[in-house]
Amino acid sequence: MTLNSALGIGKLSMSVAQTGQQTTGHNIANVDTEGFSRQDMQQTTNGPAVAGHGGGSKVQTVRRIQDGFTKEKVVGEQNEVGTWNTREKILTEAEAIFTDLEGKKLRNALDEFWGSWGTLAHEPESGPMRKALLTRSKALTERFQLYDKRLSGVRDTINAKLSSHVLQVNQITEQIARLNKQVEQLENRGRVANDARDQREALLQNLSELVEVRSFENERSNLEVQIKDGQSLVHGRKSYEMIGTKSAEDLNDVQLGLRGPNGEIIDVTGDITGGIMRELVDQRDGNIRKFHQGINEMAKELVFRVNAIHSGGTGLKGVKNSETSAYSLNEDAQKNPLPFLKAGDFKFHMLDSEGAITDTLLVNVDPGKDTVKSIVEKINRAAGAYEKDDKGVETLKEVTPFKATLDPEGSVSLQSDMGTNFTFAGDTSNFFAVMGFNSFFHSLDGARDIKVNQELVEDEMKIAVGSDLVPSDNRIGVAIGDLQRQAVLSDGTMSFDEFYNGQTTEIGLLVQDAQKGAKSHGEMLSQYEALRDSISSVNIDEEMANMVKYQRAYESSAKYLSTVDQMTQTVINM
Amino acid sequence: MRVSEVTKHNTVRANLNTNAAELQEIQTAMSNGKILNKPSDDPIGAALVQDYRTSINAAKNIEKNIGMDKVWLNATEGTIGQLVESMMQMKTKAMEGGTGGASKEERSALANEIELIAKDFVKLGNSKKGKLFLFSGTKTFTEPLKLNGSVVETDALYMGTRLKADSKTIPLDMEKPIAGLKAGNLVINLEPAPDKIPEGIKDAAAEEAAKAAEVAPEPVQKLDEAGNPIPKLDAEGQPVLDENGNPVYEMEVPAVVTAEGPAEPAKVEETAEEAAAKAKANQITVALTGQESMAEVIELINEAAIAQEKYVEDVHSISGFKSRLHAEMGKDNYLYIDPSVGVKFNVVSDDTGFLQKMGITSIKDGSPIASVNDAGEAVGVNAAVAEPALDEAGNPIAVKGANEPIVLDSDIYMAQFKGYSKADYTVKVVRGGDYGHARYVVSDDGGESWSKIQILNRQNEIYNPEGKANDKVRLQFGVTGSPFFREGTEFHFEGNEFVEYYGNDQIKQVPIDNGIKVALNITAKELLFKNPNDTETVNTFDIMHRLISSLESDDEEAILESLNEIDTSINQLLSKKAQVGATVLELEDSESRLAGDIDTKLSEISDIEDIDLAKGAIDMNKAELKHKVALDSAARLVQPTLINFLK
Repeated sequence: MTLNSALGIGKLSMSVAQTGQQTTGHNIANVDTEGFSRQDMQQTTNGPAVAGHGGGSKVQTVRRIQDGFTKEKVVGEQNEVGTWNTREKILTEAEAIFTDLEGKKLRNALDEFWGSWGTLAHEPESGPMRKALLTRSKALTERFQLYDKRLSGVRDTINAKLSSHVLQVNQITEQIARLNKQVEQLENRGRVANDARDQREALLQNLSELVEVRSFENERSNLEVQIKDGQSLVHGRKSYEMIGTKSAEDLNDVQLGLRGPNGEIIDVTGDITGGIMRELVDQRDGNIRKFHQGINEMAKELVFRVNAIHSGGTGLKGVKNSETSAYSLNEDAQKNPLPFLKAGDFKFHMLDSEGAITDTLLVNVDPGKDTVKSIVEKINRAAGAYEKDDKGVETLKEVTPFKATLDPEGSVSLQSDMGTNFTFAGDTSNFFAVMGFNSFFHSLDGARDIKVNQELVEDEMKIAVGSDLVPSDNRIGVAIGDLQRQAVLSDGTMSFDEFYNGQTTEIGLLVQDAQKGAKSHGEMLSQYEALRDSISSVNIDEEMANMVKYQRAYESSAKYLSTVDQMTQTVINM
Repeated sequence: MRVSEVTKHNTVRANLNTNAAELQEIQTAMSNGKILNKPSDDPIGAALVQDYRTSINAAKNIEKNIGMDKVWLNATEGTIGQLVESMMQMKTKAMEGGTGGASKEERSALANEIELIAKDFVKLGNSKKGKLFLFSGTKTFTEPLKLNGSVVETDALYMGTRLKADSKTIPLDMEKPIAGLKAGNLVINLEPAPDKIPEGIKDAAAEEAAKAAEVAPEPVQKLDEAGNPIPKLDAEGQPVLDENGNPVYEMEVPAVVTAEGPAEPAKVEETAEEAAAKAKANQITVALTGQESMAEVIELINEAAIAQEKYVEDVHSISGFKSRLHAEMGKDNYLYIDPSVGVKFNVVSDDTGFLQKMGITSIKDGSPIASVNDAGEAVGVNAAVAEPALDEAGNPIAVKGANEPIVLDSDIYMAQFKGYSKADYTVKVVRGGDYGHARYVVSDDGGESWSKIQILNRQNEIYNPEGKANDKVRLQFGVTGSPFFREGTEFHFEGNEFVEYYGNDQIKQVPIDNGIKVALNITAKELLFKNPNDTETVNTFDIMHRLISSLESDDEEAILESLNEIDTSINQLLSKKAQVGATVLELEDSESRLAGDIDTKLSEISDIEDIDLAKGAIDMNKAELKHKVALDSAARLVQPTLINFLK
C-alpha cells in the first residue's frame, strides 16, 4: 500500500461524508415538501483494486425510501376522500336550501296558503281575506321559485367546478408528460431522477383525486395514465386534452370529453369510474336532479290540483264575455288526445244582461280520445254555433250567443255575444285546468315559473270560492283547503306535507351518510399516510443524528488525511 | 414504528381539528339553544318538527276562524231568541183574543198588533251580521224574506198552430238577401175551419159567440132514395111507434164541415174548375225573385195574406188588417208563422226553397212539415205538403199539432203577476183583441171550471170563478202600445206565499279541525217555513196570516186553533236555537282541544330540537378541557427536537 492510496481513501471517505451530509441537508430542506420521499445515501466499500487491503468507501447510490404498496393505498384512499368530501360539500349546500326548522320557508308558505283557503271558506265574501290569500299565494310561488333558483344554483356551481377541474386535469397531465420526458432523459444518461419521480407521483396523486385513473410505468420509465383501455390521458411524452362539452339534454350541463390522437372528441363522462369529477357528475345528475324534480312535481301537482277545483267555480265577479286559455298547444299536441282528462263533463252557464241564468251548456269529455279540436267542436255543437249553407256545409256563425275557437297559436278562445255572458259552472273532466281556463295558478315548467293568475291579482273578487256567484258559497274554498290532507303526490300515496317531509328527511340522511363516509375515509387516509410517512417522510431528529454522524465521519476523514499528510511530511523530511 | 415530522404534525393537526369541531358544535347548540339546526342533525326529527309546526300553524289559524264563527253563531242565536220572544208575545195576544169575553173591536185591535209583529218578524228574519244576511243560506247578499209584492213573469200558452223556424236569424242579417233563395212561388193554403171555444165557458157573451159559431143543426128526418122518410124498425122489422102511436122515423144530423171533416160529400158533383177556383181563393201565393232579404219576405207573406182578405181593416189584428196568416220575427230571433185561430194551414208548393232554408217545423212535433227535393218538388211528409196527404179513407189529415197547446215566447206579452195567493190561476184569452177589446176567463182549478168573461186590460185584478177578489193577485202587461192578444192564449200563475224566501237551501259547512266540518248557518226556510217531510214544522207566516184574518172575522174557534200552531212554530224555532247552541259548544270544545294540541306539539318540538342545557354545559366543559389538554400535549410533542440539544 502506498501513501498515495491512503490519501485516496481519505479523499473518498471525505467525499462520501460530504454526499451524506448533502443528502441530509436535502432531506431537512424538504421536510415539508409534499410528495417528497426522504433520501438515503447508500455507501459501500471500495473494493480492492488489485488484492489485499480495502480501498475505503464510495457512494453506491442515493435512493428514495418508499414503499410502493402504502403509496398506492394512499392514492386510492385519497381518491375516496376526494369523492366523499365532494359529496358532503354538494349535499350540505343543497341541505341548506331545505333547512327550514324555523318554519320560515316553503313549508311555512304552504301552511299559510292552506290556512288562507280555510279562512276564506269561513268568509267567502270578504275582500280582505281574498287579498290575504293572494299575498300568501304569491309568497308561496316566490318560495317555489327560490327553491328552483337555488337548486339551479347548486347545479351551476357543480358545472363551474367541473369546468375548472377540466383545466386542472389538463395542467397535471401536461406536467406528467413533461416529467416523463425528464425522467427518461436523466435515466438514459445514467443519472438518478429521484425528485422528478417524486413530483410525478405527487401529480398522479393529485390527478387521481380528480379522476380515477389507471397508471403504470412502461419500459422507458414513462408513466402511462389512462381513464380506461385506449383512453389515455398521458401516453409517453404526450398528454391528451380533456374538454368540457355541452350535454345534449341540457345545454347548461358540462359533460367530459377527451381529445383522441386524431383530434376527435370522445365522450368519457360515463367512463370515469371515480374521483371528484365523477362524484360531481353523479350528484348533479342524481341527487340534485332528483330534488329538483321533486320540487317541480310538487309545484306542478299543486297547480293542477288547485286549478282543477278552482276552474269549476266562479268568483263574485265571475261573469265573462270572452276568455282565452292560459296555455296553448303546438301542432303535435293539437293532434293528440289531451292529457290529464278524466271521464266527466264541464259546464257553462249562459247569463242574460240582467245576470239571470238562461241556459246551461254541458260538454261530455271522452278522455284518451278527445283532442282540443274535438272539444272545441263539442262546445260549439252544444252552443248551436254552427249554421248550414245551402249546400249543407257547416260553418261557424260570425255572430252567435256563444262559441269557442281554436286560435292559430294553439290556445282556445271562448266568446259570447248578443247580450249573452257566461260563467264557468263546474268541471269534472279537468278540461278547464288542462287548458288553463279560470285557473288560480299558471305554470308550464313547475317551480320555475309558477305564479298566481294575473287576472285574480288585479281583482281578488274573481277568486272562485263558490259557484254561480253566490256570495257565501264556500264549497270550492273548502275543497281546496282539504287538498292539504289529500294523498295526491307520488301516484296518490303522499300529501304535499308528507312529500316535502320525505325530501327533507332524504337530504338529511344523505348528508349524514356523506359526513360519516367523509369522516371514516379521512381517518383511513391519515392512517395510510402515517404508514407512508413512517417510511418515506423526514424525521428531523433522525436527520440531526445523521448530520452529526456525517460530521463526525467528515472530521475523522479529515483527521485521517492530515495524519497521512503528516506521514508524508515525515517521509519527505527523512 | 418510525414517527416522522409530517406524521407528528398531521396527528396534532387532526386531533386539534376534531376537538375544535366538537367544541364548535356544542357552542352553536349552546348559543341558540338548539341541537337540531339542519336536517342532517336528525333527519327523522326534522320531518317531525315540520309536521308539528304545520299542525300548530293550522291550529292557530283555526282558532282565529272559530272566533269569527262564534261571533256569527252568537248573532244567529240571539236573533232566534228574539224571534221566539215575538212569537210568545203573539201567543199572549192570541190568548187575549181567544177569551170568550173579547169584543169584536178588541179583536180587530189585536189583529192590527199582530200585523205589526208579523212585519217585525220579517225584519228580524232579515237580520244582518256586518253586511251579510244571517238567514239566507249562502246567498248572503240577498234579503231572505220578502212580503210578497214582487212581480213574477209568467208562462204563456197559446192554443193554435204556430210554425217556428229551426234556426235563428240575427238582426244584422234581416236586411241582407237570404243566401240560397231561388226565384219562384210559395203557395200556402189557408182554409177556414170552425172555431172552438174552450169547454166550460158559459156566459152571455160567450154563449152568443158560441151559438153564432156552432149552430147545432136540428135533426131532420132521414130520407130514402125516393125522398120518403124511413120508419124506424125494431129487431123484428116492425115499425117502432111512439106513445101517440105514430111511427118513429130515422133521424140524422147533417154533416158539419170541420177541419178534420171530409170534403163535403154533398158537393161531389161540383166541377173540377169550380173546385180549383174555390181552392185558389183559399190559397195565397208569394212570388219571390230570389234576392229578397228576410224582412222583405216577411212583408211579402203578410201582404199576400192581407190581400187575400181584400184589405179589410181590422183594428184588433196585429197588422191592422184582416188576414188569415201572420209572419213575424220573434224577439228570440226565430221566424214565426201564425195562422189565425180556426185557419187550417198547409203548404201547397214552395219552389223558392224559403221554407226549407228556414227549416220550418211545427213546434209541437218538431218534424219538418215541408221539404223540397232537388227538383224543386215538394216531398210529402204530412198534411202540410204540396198535395194534402190523405188518410186511408181519402180524407186530408189536419196539420199535426193544430189546436194543441204550444209554448210561446212570453216576452211577446211580457205578462206578469203580482201579489200572493196559494192557488194556481189560469187566465185564458177567449176573444182576440187588444187592451179593452180582448176578453178573458179565469180558472183556479186547472181549467175544470171558468169564471165569467171579463175584459182584458193592461192591469187586471184577478177574480176567482166565484167572482170574489182573491188574495191580491194582479195580472199586468209590460208591453206598451196596442199588442194583439191571440185567442186561446193562456197565462199561468203559480201560487206563492204571503212571505217568500229568497235565499237558498245551502248550508255553509266550514272546516274547523283536520277535516272536520260544522254547519254554520240556519236558513229562514228551516226556521219559519214548513218542511213537507217534517210534521213538526209549520209555516209561521201562514199562522200569522190566518190568525189575523180569524181575529178580523171574529172567529173565536179559529183563534184558539191557531194557539197550537203557534206552539209548534215556537218549538221549531227553539230546536234550531238548540242546534246553534250545540254548534257553539262544539266549536268551544274544538277551541280548547286545539289549544291543548298546540301546547303538546310545542313541547314535543322542544324535546326534539332544543338542547338540554345542563347536559350541554357539562359537554362543553368536557370538550373544552379535552381541547386544552390536546393543545398542551401538542405543544410538548412538536417543540423539542434534537436541535435543542446540539451545541
